[in-house]
Amino acid sequence: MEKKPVEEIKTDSARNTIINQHKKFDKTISVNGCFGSSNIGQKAGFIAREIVKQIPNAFMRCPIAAFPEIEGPTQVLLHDDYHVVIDGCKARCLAKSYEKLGLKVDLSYALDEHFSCEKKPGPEFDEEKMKEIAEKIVKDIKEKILKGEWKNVSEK
Amino acid sequence: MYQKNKKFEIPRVGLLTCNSGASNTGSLTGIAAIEIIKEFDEVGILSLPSLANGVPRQVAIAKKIQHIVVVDGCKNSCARNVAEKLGLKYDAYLNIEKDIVIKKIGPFSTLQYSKEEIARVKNEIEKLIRKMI
Repeated sequence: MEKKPVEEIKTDSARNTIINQHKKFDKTISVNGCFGSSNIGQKAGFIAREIVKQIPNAFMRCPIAAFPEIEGPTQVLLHDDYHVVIDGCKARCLAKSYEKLGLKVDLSYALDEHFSCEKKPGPEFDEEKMKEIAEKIVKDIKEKILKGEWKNVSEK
Repeated sequence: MYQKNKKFEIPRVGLLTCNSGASNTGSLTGIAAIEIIKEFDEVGILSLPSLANGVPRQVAIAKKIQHIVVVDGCKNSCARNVAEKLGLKYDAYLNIEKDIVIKKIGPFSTLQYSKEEIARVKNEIEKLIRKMI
């Protein structure tokens, strides 16, 4: 699906989200974790949740909506200015989804490769470690994407 | 009950949830699924991004699962669409916006849900999987 001009987006809620969030924050950042079936897949999703709590112009989006080609959520994602993807493992399924959409991912992580997290079946993960990784990624976003501008970003 | 450090086995029931962090209802599907698999040893979570990308190993696992329950957070029905695109047969479908009328709030409602709502979603999924195990 191609990025459309805002006025051509048929879904009202998506059009309003794009207009209002860009009006308020200027630039928006999509942050998503894969929420895969393993411990690290789930951990990746919870890391994204921690990040959007801390960075006002960072939002979790609906990247999977692009595959059934659902216009609203896909256009919201296509209109984000920066993209941060957190995959659980090196298969990088979520990053591949962004690539298929033609999006340039600004920061891409695989928890096994970047943070030596071991993949195991089941949803259990160490919450302390999850928060620690979230902090590291928040730091990266501030340094590499927001570049010192983050203090000027309005609250959500 | 879910056992820590157990070896990977194909579960008898697979939950395919949208787990979208973009909204309260999407988040609820994922949180409720975790609650379910902690309680039911024969239930596992399927990885929606890997299926959406057609990762062969994950698609093969999904096709071997005896029963699949698809849970979507909103009318866009992304999880169901991915399942149908792959030709994955599912035994039950729950759309929490439509079937149990939990309103989707936007645009930023990732964390806006209550314990009661988690319990409602979990109960509905539980009713469906109890017919299968």
